[in-house]
Amino acid sequence: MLIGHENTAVELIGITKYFPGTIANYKVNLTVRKGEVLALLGENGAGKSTLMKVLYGMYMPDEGEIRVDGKKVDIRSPQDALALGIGMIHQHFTLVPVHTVVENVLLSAFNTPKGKLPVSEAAKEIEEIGRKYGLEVDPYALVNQLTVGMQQRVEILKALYAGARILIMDEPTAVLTPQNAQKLFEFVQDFRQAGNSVVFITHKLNEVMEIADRIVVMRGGKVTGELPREAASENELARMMVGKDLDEITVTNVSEGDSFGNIVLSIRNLRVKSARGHMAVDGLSLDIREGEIFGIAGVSGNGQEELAEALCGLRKIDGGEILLESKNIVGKKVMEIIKEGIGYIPADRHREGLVLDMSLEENLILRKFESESFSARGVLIQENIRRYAERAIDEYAIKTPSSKVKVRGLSGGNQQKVVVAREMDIATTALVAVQPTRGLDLGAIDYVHRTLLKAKAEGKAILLISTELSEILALSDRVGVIYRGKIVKVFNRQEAKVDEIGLAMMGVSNDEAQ
Amino acid sequence: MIVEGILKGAVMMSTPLLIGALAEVFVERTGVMNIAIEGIFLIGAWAGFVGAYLTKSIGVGLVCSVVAGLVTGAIYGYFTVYLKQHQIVTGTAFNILSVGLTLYLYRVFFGVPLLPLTVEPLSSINIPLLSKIPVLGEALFNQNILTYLAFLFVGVGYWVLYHTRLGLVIRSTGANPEAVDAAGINVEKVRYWAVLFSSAMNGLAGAFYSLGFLGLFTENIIGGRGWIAFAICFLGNWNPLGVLAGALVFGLADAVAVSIQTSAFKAIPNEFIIALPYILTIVATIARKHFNVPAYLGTPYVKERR
Ligand SMILES: Nc1ncnc2c1ncn2[C@@H]1O[C@H](COP(=O)(O)OP(=O)(O)O)[C@@H](O)[C@H]1O
Ligand SMILES: [Mg+2]
Repeated sequence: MLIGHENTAVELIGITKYFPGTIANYKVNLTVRKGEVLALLGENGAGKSTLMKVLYGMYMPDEGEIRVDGKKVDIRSPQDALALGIGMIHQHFTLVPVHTVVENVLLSAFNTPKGKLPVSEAAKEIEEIGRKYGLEVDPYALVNQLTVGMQQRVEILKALYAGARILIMDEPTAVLTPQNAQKLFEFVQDFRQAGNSVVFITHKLNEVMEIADRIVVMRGGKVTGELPREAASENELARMMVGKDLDEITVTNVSEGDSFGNIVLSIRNLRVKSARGHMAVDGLSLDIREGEIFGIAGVSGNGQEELAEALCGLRKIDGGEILLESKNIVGKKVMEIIKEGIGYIPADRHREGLVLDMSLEENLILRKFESESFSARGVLIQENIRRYAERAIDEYAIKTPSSKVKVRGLSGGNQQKVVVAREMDIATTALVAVQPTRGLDLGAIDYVHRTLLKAKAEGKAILLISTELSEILALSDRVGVIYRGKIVKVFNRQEAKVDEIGLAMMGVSNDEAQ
Repeated sequence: MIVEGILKGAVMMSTPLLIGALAEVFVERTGVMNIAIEGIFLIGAWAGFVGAYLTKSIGVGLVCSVVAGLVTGAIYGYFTVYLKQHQIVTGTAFNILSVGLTLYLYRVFFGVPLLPLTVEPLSSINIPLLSKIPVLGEALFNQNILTYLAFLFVGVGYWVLYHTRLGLVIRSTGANPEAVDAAGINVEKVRYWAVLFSSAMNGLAGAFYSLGFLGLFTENIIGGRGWIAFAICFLGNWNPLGVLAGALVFGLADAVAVSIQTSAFKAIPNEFIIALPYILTIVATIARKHFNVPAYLGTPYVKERR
């Protein structure tokens, strides 16, 4: 089908982008029309962000051409893109946390005058744009004092202030509650109605069905499908995304009703301060029984990280009790907690889970090198470590040339398997898993999920903390919603409803909502 | 009389510290530590003296010190900003090198003279009427040109940093270079220019020691004062006004120490007065809760890296 130029806003033609060892985009063609919401759908690593960063001038393509309004353009920096009316909301916010909203907006506006900053004029305009699109935010607030949802508004305002007509949003709902996501969708609709275009990047099928006019699917750096929404079904999209049917690989938790064992981990009135000094976990209580997965749902920043760190001895506890098999473990050192058998899969495997420049074997014994089989009088027993590593590589199907390679060279999924292997071995009684599948492809996600279910079958108590509600619902026996450092509501899985959980995530109690 | 003399000395001695520390504020706000500051002070002192001695013109000497600072900064910046070398290691190498290099080049030019060679130091510019104000008049309005420039620089620097687009870019680059990159501003360029600027200012600050009042050059003429300027940046919480206060404290200690040394007053040991600002620095560092330290200070920025 031929499209008239008067209708196209942006054309990407034959875009190729290489990174060392990766082809992120290969000969990609993509058209964005005026007045449409284009969903760019694909798994993690499909090349969506890269493609859009090329359009936004953050990355230089190795090949290919970009046309805006039918004319060939040379976009060498985001300033060029903004001048052409292209704005982008990044997956990871690009805000200066210690500066105010106005300052952040002025920084990126390509038309900010060279000399004195027009602070009060800009503040007024920000308020105006905010009113027009329902994106109100105090222009003089410091960004680091805003919630994640508010920070996203600031990102959007940055683009709108600079005059964007084409707005690229990279996985914008990842950090939002279902209700805030709904608000964002409303904004997207308003913005489109005004004749603008939106490229909406996501890997969530339901979002695509909700807001897209047209859908482009990417896999492995290439476009694998394009279709209008009316012609799309979730199953078909999934097939394009993954290359196989989704239900083949989705796991569901087959729990046998209430047949759990004794309480293994009991948290009573826990209080933990965050790094910034406020009470991040504030009187939190929960119980987890033998062979139970307790899922914690919540918007990030409500005390999840602090809770996990406190359980693993990484953060000082300001009050309350943590009973592991009726023994209080508050105040114990990390090493002692490891000996008690609590494993920990941290949210950020690069920062907390692994030492990227150390070998696979070294990473596997990172938290248990003191054990007798791995060291004697401070000297590592290389032979035992190697044999142990080889067993783990076998058991967890870690794809690696040998046990001596640096983990930096492994793919994300295999890196996570290293963490999981180590922590499963430590977790003889309980396992704390935080965002255990973040950034993994569907195959690896499936593997991690199966491993968690195996741990459950072995009778371990598992605390699963995730901002992916679908993950929580797929695995948990009970779901607790965390809000401002407290568990505000607990659902049995059979009774859990997404909208009720969503309300609880925002701190709305049921009675208020009715 | 004594008080007036001490105050005048304090303002004078704080001048090069103020210039160096302000320059350091600007460069550190972009995320780069100019650790080579001590070496550039020395090179500036040397170049200023040589230029002034050979041409008999103090003006030429000052220009030479700025150019020498720029050249050193161009190399330091290339290594740290573009080649992403470790700033502390590179800077330390520069500092060690500068000691040998200036001494060597001094001897190449002048051999080993029996008495140190001298030039006529910068003269004071007396501002009529204002310099007659009791107590403070001499201190504030009868100083050389560099002192006036340094104080002007505080005000202008503050305004630029907090009220202009350039200042916003500078502050943002140290606080989150990715945001600057995403705004389409070249992070490396901002940082490189900041290193050049701070190095030029450091060269000038160094020339104050050789040309400002002594009119001669020796190998230990700086004697760690570059480090003091570096510390004042920290003490002043990366803020031009804080730096002004810090520089004045150190300048005052210097001046009091000198006047005690030359008087019969021996109740407080001279060394204690000299040590006082350092003790204050340590106390202030421990006591302070809120730091403005740029979040990405010392971290090289690589584009297109995750
Ligand atoms: N800055 C980078 N350096 C090296 N490799 C990268 C970089 N950005 C992305 N990649 C790689 O390019 C591929 C596509 O990544 P990306 O565009 O982020 O995918 P998506 O946004 O679809 O999840 C992945 O294999 C990723 O590892
Ligand atoms: Mg992405």
